[in-house]
Amino acid sequence: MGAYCLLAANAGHTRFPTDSAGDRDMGQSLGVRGRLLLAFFSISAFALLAAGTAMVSFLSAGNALKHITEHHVPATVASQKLSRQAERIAAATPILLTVETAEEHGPASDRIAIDLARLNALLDALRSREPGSDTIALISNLVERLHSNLNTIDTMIFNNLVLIERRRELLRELGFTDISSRRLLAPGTLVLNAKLAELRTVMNTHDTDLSTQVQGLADLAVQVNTLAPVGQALVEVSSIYEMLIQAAGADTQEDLDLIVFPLRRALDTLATLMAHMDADLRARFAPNITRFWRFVDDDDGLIAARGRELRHLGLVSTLLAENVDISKQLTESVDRLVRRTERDIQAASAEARSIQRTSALILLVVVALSLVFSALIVWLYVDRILIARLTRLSDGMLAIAGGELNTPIRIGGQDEIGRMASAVEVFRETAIEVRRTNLREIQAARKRLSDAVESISEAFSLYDADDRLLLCNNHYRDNLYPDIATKIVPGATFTEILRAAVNAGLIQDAIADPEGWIKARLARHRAPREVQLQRQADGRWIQVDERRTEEGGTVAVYSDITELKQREQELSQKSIALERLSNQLGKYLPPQVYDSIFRGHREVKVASSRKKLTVFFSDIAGFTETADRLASEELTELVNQYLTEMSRIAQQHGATIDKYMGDGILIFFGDPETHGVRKDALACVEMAIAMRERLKDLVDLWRESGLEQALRVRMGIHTGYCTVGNFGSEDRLDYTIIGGAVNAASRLEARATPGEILISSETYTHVKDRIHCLEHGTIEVKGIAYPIVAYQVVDSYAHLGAERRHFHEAHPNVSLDLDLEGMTEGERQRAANILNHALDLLAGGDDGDPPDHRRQPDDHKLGRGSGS
Amino acid sequence: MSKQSLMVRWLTAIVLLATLPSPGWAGIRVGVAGPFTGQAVFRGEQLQQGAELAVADLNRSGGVLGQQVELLIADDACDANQGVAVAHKMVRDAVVLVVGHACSHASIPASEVYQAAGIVMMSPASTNPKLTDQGYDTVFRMCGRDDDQGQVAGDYLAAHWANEHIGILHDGTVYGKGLAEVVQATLDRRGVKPLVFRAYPPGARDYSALLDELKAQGIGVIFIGGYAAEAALIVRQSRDRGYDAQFVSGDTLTVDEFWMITGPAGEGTLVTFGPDPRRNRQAIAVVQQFREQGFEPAGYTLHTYAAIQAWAQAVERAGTTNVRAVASTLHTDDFDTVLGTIRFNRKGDISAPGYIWYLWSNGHYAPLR
Repeated sequence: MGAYCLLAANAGHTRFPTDSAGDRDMGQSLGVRGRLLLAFFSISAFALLAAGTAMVSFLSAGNALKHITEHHVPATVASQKLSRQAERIAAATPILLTVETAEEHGPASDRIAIDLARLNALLDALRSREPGSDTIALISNLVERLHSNLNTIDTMIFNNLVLIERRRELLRELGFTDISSRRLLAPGTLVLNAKLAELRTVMNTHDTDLSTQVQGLADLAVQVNTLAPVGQALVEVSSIYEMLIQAAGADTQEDLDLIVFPLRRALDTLATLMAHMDADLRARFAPNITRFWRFVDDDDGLIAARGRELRHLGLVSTLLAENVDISKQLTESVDRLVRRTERDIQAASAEARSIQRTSALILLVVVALSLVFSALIVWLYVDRILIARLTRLSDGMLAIAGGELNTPIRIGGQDEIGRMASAVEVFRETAIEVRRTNLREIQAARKRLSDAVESISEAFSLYDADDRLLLCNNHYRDNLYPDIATKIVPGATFTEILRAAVNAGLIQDAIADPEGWIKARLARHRAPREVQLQRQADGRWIQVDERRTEEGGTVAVYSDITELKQREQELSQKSIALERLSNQLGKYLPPQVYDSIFRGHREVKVASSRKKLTVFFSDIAGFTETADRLASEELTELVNQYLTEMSRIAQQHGATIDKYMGDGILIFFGDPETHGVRKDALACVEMAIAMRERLKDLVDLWRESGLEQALRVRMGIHTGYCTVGNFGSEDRLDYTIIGGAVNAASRLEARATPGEILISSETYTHVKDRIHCLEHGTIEVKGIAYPIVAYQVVDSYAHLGAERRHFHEAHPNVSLDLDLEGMTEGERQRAANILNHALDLLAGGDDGDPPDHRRQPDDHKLGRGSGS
Repeated sequence: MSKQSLMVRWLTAIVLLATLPSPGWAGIRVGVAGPFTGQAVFRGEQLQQGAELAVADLNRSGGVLGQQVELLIADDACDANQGVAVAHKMVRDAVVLVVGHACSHASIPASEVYQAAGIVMMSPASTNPKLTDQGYDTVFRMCGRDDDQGQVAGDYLAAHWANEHIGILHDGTVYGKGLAEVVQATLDRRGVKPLVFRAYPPGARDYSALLDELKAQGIGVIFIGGYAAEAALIVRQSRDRGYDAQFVSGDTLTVDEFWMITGPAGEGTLVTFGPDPRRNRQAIAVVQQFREQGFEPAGYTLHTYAAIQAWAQAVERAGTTNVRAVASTLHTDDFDTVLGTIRFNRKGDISAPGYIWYLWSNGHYAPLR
């Protein structure tokens, strides 16, 4: 299958694998995926086979192992245990016989019982494994025998203990008997020995006479003779004791039998000797002899007891021997069992090993085959069919990516790779088409752009990020820098072109300081911010508008604005002339009106409105006479100075100067601007006061200049409704006020004495809190039905307070004016009276005559004048 | 305490109890130590008989603290070294009371062992003062002291034989020499000087040379500080030689052995001894028991019996065999015994009345009229 693919691939002249003859092959239609799957499955089959073999091997080894561990090994172990237990019992049994007391017997017996029980348990366990085994039957038999043997031994031991106890008792009794016997015989023996000593002494002394000596000897001999049996008895007692001890420890019945003879003889002798003792001693000694006899003769005596012991021991020995024999047989049987089990184990393990070997072999073969097959697949298919084609395909695609579109991709095959190859081929051809189309479009676009640029009326240039000329139109070349057209080529730097232009003297601005200008120009070029103007040498004005493009290049548009410039200049000249004109005009208008007109708030047309204004008239008293006396220049100067000062003050107070009438001034407050009637009135009055003051200064000034006359001004102020606005014709207008209020103000002014300021009551009401005024009667005014109540302005309270001692308090329900400076003594007294009365009233009493302050109504008219 | 550690504690206690020296015997052990061989065997017999009957009677009436009493018998052969060995054996065998020893020169070294091991020692027969003068609070004495005995003897000699030549003999033992010295000191205080004060060899058979000497010096009364066998021999040999001096001795002569050796020669020998307890009202039943068994409870038999009686009562009262408790009870209480109502002083000496004179005659000793 793989080889076929290979051939197909190599034979591919055609580009389209669908034409290849391999089309009809079934295998081809599987495709890469299918073939790979097939390959993997077949490799997996090998792996499965290997795994299967391994499993089989493991299982059978496991079985064998299981068999060993579950059957043979436990059996062996059990047998071994049994054998060991039997040995242990056999070893422990002799120790039983060393038991000497009942207390020791109990535990020892229990231990044996436990050991036996364990043995039985082991045997049962073994039997349960192999119920029918002969060996095991034999073993059980032996165990039973062992059991009965041990039981018998146990009983024997018990009996043994009894015998041992009896022996102990007997020995104890023997000890006492011996001691008692000796005790009884000791005194006699002592005396005997003493007598013998005496005898010796007597025998050895030769200095007395023979008869005394003989007598003495004879006496002594008699005593010795009497006492001799006691001594002999002592000897016999000793010997009897020894023999009985020996008998108690006799090893054999024969020895025992043998000892009895001398024992009896000694006892007989002792009895004989007893007969020779004195009665008292004999009586005391007799029980001991009886006891000695009993040791020898009694069934329960020492000799008999020892005999029983010996017989007993014999039996026990036999039993022990039997026990040992049984144990040995048991061990042998068990060993046979063990050996058989061991053989079984070996067989099983041999089997397991052979299985292992076979399996290992199979496994190796399978693994090898698997490896070979894998290698084949990789080499024949993967490498040659898949990898090779893929590599070629990727190379082709890389070529395409690199731009090499002309080489066709020829990779055959019906599978996925073949399909991919044909797809890439299609892509390649499409790419070729697209490229061609793109080229055409690019060319078209370029032509369009250059046409557009050319048709711009301005000069246009585009410099790239490196400041090299990319594009420019003919205007740029021909009109802007005509002489240096050769320099202006794509690729030339801005600096080069600029320098060339400067050097060619094309730029007026650069002539003075070429390097400086170039430097500045380049700086502007690099950071274009605003539009620049550039003057060419031929007088043209060029506007340079440079912008940075996104890529970092610079685009510039150069516009010829010479005409524009000219017009600009004309315009500015005209504008200056106009301004001058209007300034001159302005002098004839009140500033507010002028401002108002020029700001456009007020239309210059015939119009008026009715407002409440405060009107002010003033003129200098006795001016005309003064005017006559002065020269015109001096007069002009005087008047102008006066009017200037007054105008200044008026403007400071926000007045609208209506007109000058020679030395007279008409001013009003409330139009075009107003701060409210009250404030307007107040401003007017304050202005009046200020003007009066200022005139005083001016008069001083003028005096120094030579004018003797002390000029004083008269002022009149009234607040009322006037009609204010433009009056006149369309060609000529006058901004002024008309109305009865105007007349009123005029009349007031006329009535004022020089240096007086008269205000109407209407005005007074607005300013009385701030301005100190005196009543001034009434005035008739033409055009006004009622007479005007006039007040004379003294000064503002603020000034008064500062300059004059003037007390003024105005509060709800109480007001008090004290002109302390203007008061006479009498007036002061009266004021005091009045104030005291007021105090009384305030304190609560309202009796007492109010001081009569209504008398002397003329006081306030008299000379209380403001006067300056 | 957690359950587990409680269990452990119990187990430990059980194990410890199991390992206590209790050689398969759940009772109380007492020992009687005395000379059963060698010298003074008859005194040993008295001790043994007294102890055996006392223990048998005790066990018959329920034992002590509800337990049976086991009696161990050990022979010290009236020897100091063997006495100490016996003491060690008693310690090893875990006895709580030792009745003994008899010979003072064995009792005194043995008492050190008993005191160190915490075993109550009650001597029925050792009269040397040092036994209780040592200051051991576990040592008690059922008999009198030689400083009393000697004084009694000395006074008597001075009263009756001031004009005779007095001879004092001793065997060099702790008892013998000690007693002899007290007698001499007493005589000295009375202004009587004994002519002879001599030691005699205890193991010798023939005292004839010594006796001849004394006879030659004209000694009319001889005080013997020594044990019965030698004293008896001296008396017999003197009589056999026709030397009729008056013999005076101490409590050691209250044994059968004396007359068994002297025979009729012992007639008229004067001995000092405590009041004969066989005459006590409280002792009548016990004396009867002894005689029925074929044993005459002479000498210190009943003193031995009384020792065990007193000890048993002390244990019952203290509620324990612990040596401290028992010793303290013995020091403080009164006890009803075959010797009468007795008590022990701070030193351990008995409160019984002092010594009286006895005369050996016809094979018995009886109070001197």
